[in-house]
Amino acid sequence: MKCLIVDDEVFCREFVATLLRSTGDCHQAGSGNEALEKYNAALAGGDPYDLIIMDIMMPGMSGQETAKTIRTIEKVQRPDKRVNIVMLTALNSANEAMEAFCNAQSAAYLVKPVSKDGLFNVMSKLGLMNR
Amino acid sequence: MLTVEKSAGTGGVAASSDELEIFNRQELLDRLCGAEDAVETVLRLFVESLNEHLEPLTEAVGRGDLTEVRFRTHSIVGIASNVSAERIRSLAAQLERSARLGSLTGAPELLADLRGAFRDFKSLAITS
Repeated sequence: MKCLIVDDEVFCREFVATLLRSTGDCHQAGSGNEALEKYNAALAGGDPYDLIIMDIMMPGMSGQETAKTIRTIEKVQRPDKRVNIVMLTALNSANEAMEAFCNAQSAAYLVKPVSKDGLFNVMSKLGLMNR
Repeated sequence: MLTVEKSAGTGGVAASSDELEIFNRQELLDRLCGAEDAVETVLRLFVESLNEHLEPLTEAVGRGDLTEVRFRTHSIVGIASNVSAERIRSLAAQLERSARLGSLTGAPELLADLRGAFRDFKSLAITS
């Protein structure tokens, strides 16, 4: 499985990477713009990501905006297969989290703190385990 | 497919921060599915990250910069919750909530408590 972890906080990227260390090829991006660069490069190289785990609240381009941009690119370049996007949030309001989750057309959202069980449970439901 | 996973215990701040646990190592270990070797790495990264946020946060409180306070405290809430540093998480969440509401009244006191909680965390969690 090929995964991209997007979070402006390096600790949070490393934490998720630690949880995923047995699952395959994990890349990291520190901003929405960097995520789009890596997403496009992987797509152009014929080896797209299976999963993107992305923080909702980031300075500059938010996770929500980044996800929407990815969906727009997919419509043109990869209409047959959408990448699974899991949004991460430390938002205090469940309503805000749900709104961001729906607007970003993501497959799931996880509320921090993230656990290995919680993450693997989501990945299993998305059919991403054993890839 | 729509899937929602929520973790328990990260909601509002019902208890006083003083009553909250400084660090719950077992909870962190459980979150890492028992990977003891990952705990020290995660703790080291946490201390580095918090150190990087505290000075800019202190400066932002000093100049009354609500946006920066909100951004820094939101980051601290996220990283502290991941390592089960509950007192730090709670204090940062209180500060974030104040900034969201447009007021930094009491922020210097909360910040001092946050620094104290961080000192306590390092004493308790960092073994070497």
